[in-house]
Amino acid sequence: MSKSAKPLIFYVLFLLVIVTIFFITVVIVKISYEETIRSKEEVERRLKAENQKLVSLQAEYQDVTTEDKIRFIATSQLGMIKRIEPSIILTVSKEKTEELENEIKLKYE
Amino acid sequence: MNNTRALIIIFAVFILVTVLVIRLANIQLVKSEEYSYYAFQQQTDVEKIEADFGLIYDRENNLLVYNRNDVTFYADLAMLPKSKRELIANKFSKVLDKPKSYFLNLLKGKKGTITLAKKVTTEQLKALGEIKIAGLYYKDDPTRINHYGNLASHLLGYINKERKPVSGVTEFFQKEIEGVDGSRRIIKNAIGELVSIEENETQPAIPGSDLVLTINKDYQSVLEEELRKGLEKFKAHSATGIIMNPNTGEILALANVDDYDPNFYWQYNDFQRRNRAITDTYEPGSTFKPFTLAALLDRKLCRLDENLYLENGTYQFKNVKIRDTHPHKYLNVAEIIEQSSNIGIAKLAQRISDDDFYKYLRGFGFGNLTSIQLPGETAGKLKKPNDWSKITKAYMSFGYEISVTPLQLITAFSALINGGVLYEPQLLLKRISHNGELEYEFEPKPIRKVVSEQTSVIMKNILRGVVKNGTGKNADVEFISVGGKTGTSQKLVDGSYSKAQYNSSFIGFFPVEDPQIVCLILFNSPDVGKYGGLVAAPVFKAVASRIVEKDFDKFEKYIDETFKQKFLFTSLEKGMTADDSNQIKIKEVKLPADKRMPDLVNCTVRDAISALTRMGIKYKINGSGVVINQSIQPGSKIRTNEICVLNCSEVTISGASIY
Repeated sequence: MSKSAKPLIFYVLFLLVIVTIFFITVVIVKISYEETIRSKEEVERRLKAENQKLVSLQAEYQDVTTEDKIRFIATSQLGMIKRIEPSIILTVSKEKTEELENEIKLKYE
Repeated sequence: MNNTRALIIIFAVFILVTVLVIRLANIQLVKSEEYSYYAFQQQTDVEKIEADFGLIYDRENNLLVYNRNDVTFYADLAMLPKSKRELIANKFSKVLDKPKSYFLNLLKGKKGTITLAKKVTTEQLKALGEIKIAGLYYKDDPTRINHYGNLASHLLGYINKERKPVSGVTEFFQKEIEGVDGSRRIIKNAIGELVSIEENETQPAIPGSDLVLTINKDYQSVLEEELRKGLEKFKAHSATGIIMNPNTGEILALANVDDYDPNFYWQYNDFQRRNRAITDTYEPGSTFKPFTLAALLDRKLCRLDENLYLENGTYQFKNVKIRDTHPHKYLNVAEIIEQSSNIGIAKLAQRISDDDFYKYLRGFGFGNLTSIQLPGETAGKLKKPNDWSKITKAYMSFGYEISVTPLQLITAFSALINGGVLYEPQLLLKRISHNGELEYEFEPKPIRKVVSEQTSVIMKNILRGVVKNGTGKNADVEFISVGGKTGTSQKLVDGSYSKAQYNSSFIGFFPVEDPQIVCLILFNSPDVGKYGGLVAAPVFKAVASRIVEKDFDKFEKYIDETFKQKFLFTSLEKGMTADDSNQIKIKEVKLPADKRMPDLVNCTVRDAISALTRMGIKYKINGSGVVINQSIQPGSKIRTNEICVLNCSEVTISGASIY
């Protein structure tokens, strides 16, 4: 009995260890799968939120870059004023421009 | 001895395994179905994945409406530990800016589920951090955001608390915009937390299509601002305005004031939320005269230069008296429209048969829906010739005994000046699917030819005369040619025409040589001034001027050369002129050597803030622009923790930087 029982115990215990290891592995894989799914869900949620934030920022950007907004802030908060007169007035005689135009035409045609 | 021990262990293990196997068999085979059912019920749940509504843009791709994924927090009081309630109240009060007692009050019950906080934004959720407490959980609560608040509220509509689209294009294009909801099976633990998701059973949501509207945000804001100013100035009950492209039927702007903010739609009443431009009808009065004349000219029943006797202002017609506001003895046909003579147009209208007149009016679309892409449109009232009395035609010729919606009137008016073609008014420029595919693109929809090209040209010139020489002078814009017609109609109150309440309107277009814009302005019951020429025409002028300024490139070719210079250099807003008495000279901040209060009056807020920060003085700012007074006198000693209050004003300034 003593001679034949040892291997049997060994086999049974070995089998139990294998089954336990297998079972633990399955549980670990399942838990990590579930963890991955949860983090995927979280990341997807964040992605959606960030995309929506991007869209809202686009709207905000469009809003703050309108001429009216810039003009309002420039005048009311930054103390800027709009120039009433042109800073430089270029006066070119019509005859002179026509003369130059004709010269160019003659030169290149 | 050893063998006996081994046998005992083997026997024990055997017994244990046998018991386990029996139990396993009982669970897996005998009671498998029952337990599976309970487990399925308790652990899994089918969750709806709500599809995002499509975005809404204006024709220049300015984003008008978008979505935000807020969440709502719930607390299951039976599961929520009492020790954690203080902590929750603390966190929520800090992040959501509400008193702690408010949250403690909500959490004081023993059972039931309560809504702890609604519409918590993603930023607030982040700020709340990781708060994993049994019984406290949140769910998605998507929110629709109208970025510009009230802007174009009647066109855009909103989504109510039950997630149903209400009013505007949101309701009309419900199917296209709302997308298809998805679903997923989730596995939860005993306290309802998400454990896993059955990926193979997940149906993703399909977002709705994006809408690009024909409206122009700039035009819309100009129209709304000017209507609001007019409403206040003329103390009217309400006002409506529409801007349209007469050559295509595209609605460029549509506004009713009072209006509402779709983000807080529940705070407004039905009147404010109703799109009166398509739901409310009115008798158009003199703005209707051009249609009568167009019918007569098209049938060649009158000449422009023929003179008519106008009875010195009072005309006995059948059993009624028709009166003119300004009596005339003789006027020619063009002058009848220019001076808006009721007698003249009533006399002319007798030349056309009832059936022909009716056919023309029907042709212009009166009494019919325009088929605008908005819900709730009404058709107005156009009586059939069989129902006409002896005076109906005369009254209809100057806009009574007929009711129209503002949209019908502007649609018909467009046909009058665009060469005679009636177009279906449209609001949708493009529809783009969630993956970027173009699903729909605008095309003008001509309905029918109402009057000839020649009649249309004549009408344009007559309507130019109204603005140049007639009742519409207040609508004239000096740098672009404007045509149009004024209208003042008495309102029907309790079955009789009121002598105190009027609809004052102006419908006009520009440039006359190639109409690009047609605009209707209607004021309901103004207290100050009653005539369309005094109330609505100046508002039209303001709208037209600002639109031309804003869209200078588009209208440049129609603007007189001398005014182009003015546009380029002197388009200063009112109250900003160089000689304004409200002007002040801006100055720089001079920091004193010792730690005394600097003089900040007449300095810009930006400079003042910079100086105070440098000196370590606490401050509070009221208003913006330039500092007009300060609570701590210049040169005085600054006490520790003393707060300097700066009152500011947006006044015109000079001598500062120039842009």
